[in-house]
Amino acid sequence: MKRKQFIQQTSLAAASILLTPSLLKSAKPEDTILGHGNKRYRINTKWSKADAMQSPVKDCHEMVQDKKGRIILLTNETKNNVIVYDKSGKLLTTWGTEYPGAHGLTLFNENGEDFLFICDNNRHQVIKTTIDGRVLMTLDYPKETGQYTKPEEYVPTETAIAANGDIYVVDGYGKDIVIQYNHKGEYIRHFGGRGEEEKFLKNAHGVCIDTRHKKNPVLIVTSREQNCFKRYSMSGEFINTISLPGAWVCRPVIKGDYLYAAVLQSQNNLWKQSGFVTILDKNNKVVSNLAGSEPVYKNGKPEEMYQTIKAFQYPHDVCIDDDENLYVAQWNSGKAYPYKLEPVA
Amino acid sequence: MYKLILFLTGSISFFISLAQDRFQLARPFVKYESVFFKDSAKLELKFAQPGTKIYYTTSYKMPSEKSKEPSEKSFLYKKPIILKTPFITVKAKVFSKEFKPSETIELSFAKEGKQIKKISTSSPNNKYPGSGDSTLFDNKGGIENLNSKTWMGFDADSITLIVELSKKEAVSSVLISFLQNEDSWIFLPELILISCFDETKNLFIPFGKEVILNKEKSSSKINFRLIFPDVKNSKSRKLMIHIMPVKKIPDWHPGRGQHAWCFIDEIKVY
Repeated sequence: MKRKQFIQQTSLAAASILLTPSLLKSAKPEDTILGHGNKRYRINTKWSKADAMQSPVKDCHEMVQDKKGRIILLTNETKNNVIVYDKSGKLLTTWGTEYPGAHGLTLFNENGEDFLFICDNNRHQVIKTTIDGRVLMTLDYPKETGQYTKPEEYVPTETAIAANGDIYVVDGYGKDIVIQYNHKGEYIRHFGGRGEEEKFLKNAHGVCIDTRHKKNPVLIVTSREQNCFKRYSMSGEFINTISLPGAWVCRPVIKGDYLYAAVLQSQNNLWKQSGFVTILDKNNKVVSNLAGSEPVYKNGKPEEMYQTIKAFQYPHDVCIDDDENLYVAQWNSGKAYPYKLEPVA
Repeated sequence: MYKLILFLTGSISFFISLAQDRFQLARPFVKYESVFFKDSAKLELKFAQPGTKIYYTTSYKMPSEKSKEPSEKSFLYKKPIILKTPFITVKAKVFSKEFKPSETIELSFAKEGKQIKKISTSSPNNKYPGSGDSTLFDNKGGIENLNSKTWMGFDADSITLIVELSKKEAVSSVLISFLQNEDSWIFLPELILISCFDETKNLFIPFGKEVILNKEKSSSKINFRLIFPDVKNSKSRKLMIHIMPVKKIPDWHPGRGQHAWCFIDEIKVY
């Protein structure tokens, strides 16, 4: 045995002898386990191996995994709007310099080929590209809705693509409407928007297609300032609200039987880096909060949720890979690269 | 011997890495209806994270005086705290073995004083009008969210408030509750001047004042200012409060040189 190795092993042994079990738990961030029930994860804040000088980020807005297993990050840093990683955090490639307001990133597998949809807040457009960044289609502000007089009123934040190719766009920083197009980008209808009734939205920041009930897919739309998700039929009829008191939820992400979402911040501590991650089961009941309060239901309703551990600042999106690892991209968090969280058995 | 040294250095470095790299706990979750009350107020603290405990201190002195920082020797929080005395400041903090202790939250509560009949105010900004004529004496407030209807927000050079009491009484102090949220350009005012109405002379005579220097950034909070009389005879049924908001934001702030906001949610007369 080499001397260095010997020292390491001896000191570890010493530590375990001298420390009480409770102190042993008090470990470095890398050893911290977050979450509840069977959705618990070990956090790795140093997953990204990207060089901040070469491949910088500003806000890390969203992440997806492609069919090759690569993790794709969208940032509003125009030196490299898209950073492609492998699952170990190694940077594989970067592309994109013309998306100053890069915000929403959605992947759609169309007849076996991966395509990306980017929402750009500053350009007031939705752009469809190939997986390596070649532009295929650009959707301008939706005049057809009769809701807009100029592009600046339209600030798209997210897209969701249905199995038939229909494109749903949420104008989460504009008028909070959901616009449905066919696969060619032709306007079909719009719904949502602001108002007092339950079917309306406030800060419609994200959208996804909930495919957990195979025969009956529905749309889930974020109403972030109302701390909830709202369910609609694929043609825009309002179904119901999934109330998440206290949680400024970002887009819903479906993987397996679960719905995952970054929570930008806690309602009880606004604009003070009070974010966490929430996980809902197939019945849309919160089962785990990563760095957040243990979910408690009273009379079928969740109690107000909040951050408990300052592991994150402002989580903005989550991505769940094919090995059930979870990645967290953050907004306005000191140009931090994404974190990876591995499930704990 | 050699082995023993290795034992010790190993465990010391392990301890150091623990102390430096642990995540911090978030501040405790607080629940209360208002920090102003007639008979009593209830303060509930929560923290749904296994292995953590909330400790708190209370201080019954004037709100301007500092109260003690909570430690693991302070009161252990077990059930909602019922507040009854005229002024109470509660400080609370979360501790655990696994994580760094949280930041301290500090909340001051104030009991109703003399009965106020009416408060007339100069116009607040129409975005922050409050919730009607009784906004400043309805026992509702202490909500940090600046969009809460408990706040009246002013962006004028000066604010004038006339406070009418139900009867003529000797006034021992006046409390004004401000929001301090410098990130949102809401500052404490530079000056508060209070005068009381003298019926025999039929004019307002000076009562007391406070000069506030916004020297450095403070964390967002509700800030009670308590003003005492400089005069011997403070018997009156009417008070006039002049408030001078910050007209030029100080140099340390990104909004330097511009006009600040001033937010008020409650006035109490004792």
